[in-house]
Amino acid sequence: MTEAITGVNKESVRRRRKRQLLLLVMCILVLVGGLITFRSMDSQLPLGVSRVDFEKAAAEFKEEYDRPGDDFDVLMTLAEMAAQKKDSATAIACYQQIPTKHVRHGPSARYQEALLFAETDQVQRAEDSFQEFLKLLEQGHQLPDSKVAHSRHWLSLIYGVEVRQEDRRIVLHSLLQDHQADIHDVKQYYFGSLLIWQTAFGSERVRDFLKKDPDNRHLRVAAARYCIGEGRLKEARQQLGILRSEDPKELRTLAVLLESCYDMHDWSAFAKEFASAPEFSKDEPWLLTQLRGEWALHQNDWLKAEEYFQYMLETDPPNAVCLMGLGRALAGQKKSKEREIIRQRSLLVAKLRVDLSAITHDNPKGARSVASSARQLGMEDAAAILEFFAARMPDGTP
Amino acid sequence: MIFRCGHFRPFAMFIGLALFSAGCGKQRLPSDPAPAEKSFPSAVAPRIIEKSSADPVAGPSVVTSLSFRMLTAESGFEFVRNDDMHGQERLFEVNGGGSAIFDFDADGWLDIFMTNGCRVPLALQSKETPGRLFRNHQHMKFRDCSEASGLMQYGYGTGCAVGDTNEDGFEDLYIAAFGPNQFWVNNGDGTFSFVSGTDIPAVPEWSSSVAFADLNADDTLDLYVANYVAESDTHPKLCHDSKPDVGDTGCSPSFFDGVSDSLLLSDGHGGFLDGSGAAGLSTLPGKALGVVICDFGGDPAPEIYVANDGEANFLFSLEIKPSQGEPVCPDHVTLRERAVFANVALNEQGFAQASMGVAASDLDRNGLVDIFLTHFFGESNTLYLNHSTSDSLVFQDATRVSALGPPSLRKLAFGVVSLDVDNNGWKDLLVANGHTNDRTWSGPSAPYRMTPQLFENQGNALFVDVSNAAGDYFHRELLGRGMAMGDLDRDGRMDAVVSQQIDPSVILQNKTKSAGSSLFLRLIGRTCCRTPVTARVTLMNTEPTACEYLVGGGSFQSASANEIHFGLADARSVDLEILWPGGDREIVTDVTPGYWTIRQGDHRAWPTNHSETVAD
Repeated sequence: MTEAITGVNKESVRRRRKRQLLLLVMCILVLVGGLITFRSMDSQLPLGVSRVDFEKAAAEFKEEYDRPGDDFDVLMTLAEMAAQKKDSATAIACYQQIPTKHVRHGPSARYQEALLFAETDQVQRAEDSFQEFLKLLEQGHQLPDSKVAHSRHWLSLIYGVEVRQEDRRIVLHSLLQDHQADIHDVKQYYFGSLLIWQTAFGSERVRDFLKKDPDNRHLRVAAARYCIGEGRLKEARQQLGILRSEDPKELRTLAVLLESCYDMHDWSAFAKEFASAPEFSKDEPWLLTQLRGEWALHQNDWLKAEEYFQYMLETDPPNAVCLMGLGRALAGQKKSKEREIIRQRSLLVAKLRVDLSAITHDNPKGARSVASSARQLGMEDAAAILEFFAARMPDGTP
Repeated sequence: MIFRCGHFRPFAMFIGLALFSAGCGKQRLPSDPAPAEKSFPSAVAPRIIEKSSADPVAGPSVVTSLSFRMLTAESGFEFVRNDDMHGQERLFEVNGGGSAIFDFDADGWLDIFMTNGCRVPLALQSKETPGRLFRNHQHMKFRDCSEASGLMQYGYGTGCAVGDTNEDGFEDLYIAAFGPNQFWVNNGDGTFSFVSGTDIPAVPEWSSSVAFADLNADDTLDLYVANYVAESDTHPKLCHDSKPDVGDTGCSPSFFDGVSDSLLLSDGHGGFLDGSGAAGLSTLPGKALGVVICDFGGDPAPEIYVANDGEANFLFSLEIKPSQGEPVCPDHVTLRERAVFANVALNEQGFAQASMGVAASDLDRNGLVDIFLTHFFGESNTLYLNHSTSDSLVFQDATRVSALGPPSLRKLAFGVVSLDVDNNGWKDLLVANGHTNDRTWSGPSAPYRMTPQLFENQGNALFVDVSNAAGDYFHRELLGRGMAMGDLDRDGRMDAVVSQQIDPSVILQNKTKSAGSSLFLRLIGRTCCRTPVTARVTLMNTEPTACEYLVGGGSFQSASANEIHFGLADARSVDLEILWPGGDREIVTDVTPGYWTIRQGDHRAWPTNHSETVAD
């Protein structure tokens, strides 16, 4: 009997111990699982945001909207709170966790982070974010007009500072098409090649941008261009030589390098670099096409020069440099009558260039004067738009 | 069940482990770190373009023998111009004035006249700060003799021109102004007389630079007056300034209407008639700041080059109707504008630049006069080389070839003279710089005062900026404006006078040690004007060609001495060919370095006595 009782006790102890062991294993599993879950939740928090911050933002959202927010709602709230505190880094980190595809918050996140990138001189990221935001338009999203216009203006400014006229023109075209352009955009779009780009403002901004992103190629090429614009040609050539060795096929660098050789009247260096240029392409930088024309002139290849300058003038009718180049090409071919026409256009463009400074938001006379010159150059669209703006200015009634 | 005591220990372990893990756990960095957190490798070679200094002149490696010393009060030449500057930067107060170098008392030593401004509005008739005349007492000593001479230029004087209009052997003075211009006749006894409006037409416009020359082939000196823009002294145009706490300030010239220039033709009796309308000038408004009259085509008819501010420049050739024995009337002269055809209206890029000063000189020694223009900040100065033929006037923008472009981009240049500093036979360029608007509050990229520049001609119009090595003056940041040249100390080296704003104006004494020998010629016309502007002198049997022209006007609002200067290097004597206005040619042989006077028809050179005039 005792043996039976003892045996029964041992069995129950074994069962009890099994249960305990099972319980312990379960506890460990729960613990591990809990830890994994808990830690993964924390690791998804943006940089600079603690769990406490997150919960606080969630609570604020719930209080404001009378419903609990999902993670993206809370991230938006966190971003806005950080932005208000001027904590750009945290705000950006929050926005970046919101995918563009998110219906409610994606577009706004891209736009807001782009603004913060721009305001903190991170222009490449700003450009990428603005472009991603604007791409949504093409995909059929409804975006607030004011934000679309603002994004485009920012891009126009960035491209202007980086002397990327081709990209800027695309953005300006969009502004014009969607009736978002102001009169300065009109001036830049139609007469950009006549405006002074090598400003102290642009030069300083490029330096500021490079501090944040010293490897940015666009900025480095732009910095070299400003050097050229300030007469520091040797310095520019050194920088461009480095850029060229890093990417020999990149055409914008080649174009600016050729410009420095041209400005130094160093035709032997020009020839050496030009030898590696690919065949002409409609997608190449405008500066390169223009310099192809100058090279052709130097070679007395008048026909070729005429072709290149005419091509440029089709896109940019008031391009003074190309008009002068075309004039020389026509003179070389003894086409006196055609040359005389180009001469007169050059004079008209020279006058128009000075008149551009009088185009302001409140000077209808200035706008109409340029419109008149534009009309003489055959730029009917430009004339019409300028007159449209003039009519809407104070005292602008014709 | 968990909380039963018998099973509490394992649960406690779980809780403990959980709490421990939570306490030790770190937030994992996002996969895309915030850009602000990104670190840059410090070992990467710096790629940021170094911020340029505000004055990118030639580096310390430049070597030159050219040297100037600055003189001011110690020489007796004390002059601070009054521009009535009060911070509003009204357009008329930013251009400054000019200077004239001429021998007013015919003692062989060049004297100096400085135009001066006054308080505005002009109706205040301020007589506090007249223009000043300084007599040369030799050895770079000058004395203000304004009162004694009676030459009291009141009003807001700008430019000036010098010429012997009444052919009495004493040079007269025409002073341009913002307001009424003034004409002062030299009485020949050390005094001047003001010529009233009945004898000379009033020029109602704001005049800047002026030039004398015989423009209608009647052998008397006429006057071309370059006029700037329409502006009121009582209600000057003001624009909004972006500087905080300033409000309105001066406007850019683009906000003003241009006005036409004036052509005043001598009536042969000491007075002038207005030939502007008949000449066609009233149909050609511009914004003229500089003018030079010279024979650009080598034919030897004069042409007039006008530097316009922000507009296409003018190049006028003259068409004169035959007089058929009658005195030439104002309507016999027509000006034909041909700058576009001659390629001197715009620069190579097709831009009309903000042209201020102009120097006309044969810089590449091809026998033809070239044109060098000074321009605004951010624009390069421009050199047009003359390639004219007998059929046509043709120039070429040679700024790139000359290397004059880059050093001038961060300067705002006004007065300019072309002078052979070291007498090696090649003309150099001296430029006065200084901005018109003080925007230094916006940062170092917007300089106001600027250093002047000296460009040494390496031959064939290829220049090097040697400012850094040419003397202390070139390291001073100033507001340079008008500039005139002349050999003030008669040491065979060309000196200069610079009119400045705010700071005292200065004499630049040429102290170049290695200077070769030189030839200074005073030409006296007989059948042509006594002051034979556009006369050409050529050194015969010289390669490359060495020729000099007596030009009218030039620089900015200033008049250089009416002398021909040749740098002869080590030549011991030269033969000269003189082409007088009107076409007379004359050869003078065996002229040795020094100072000579050549009277038309004498076929010889007389030594220029520095203490008495040469009798006719």
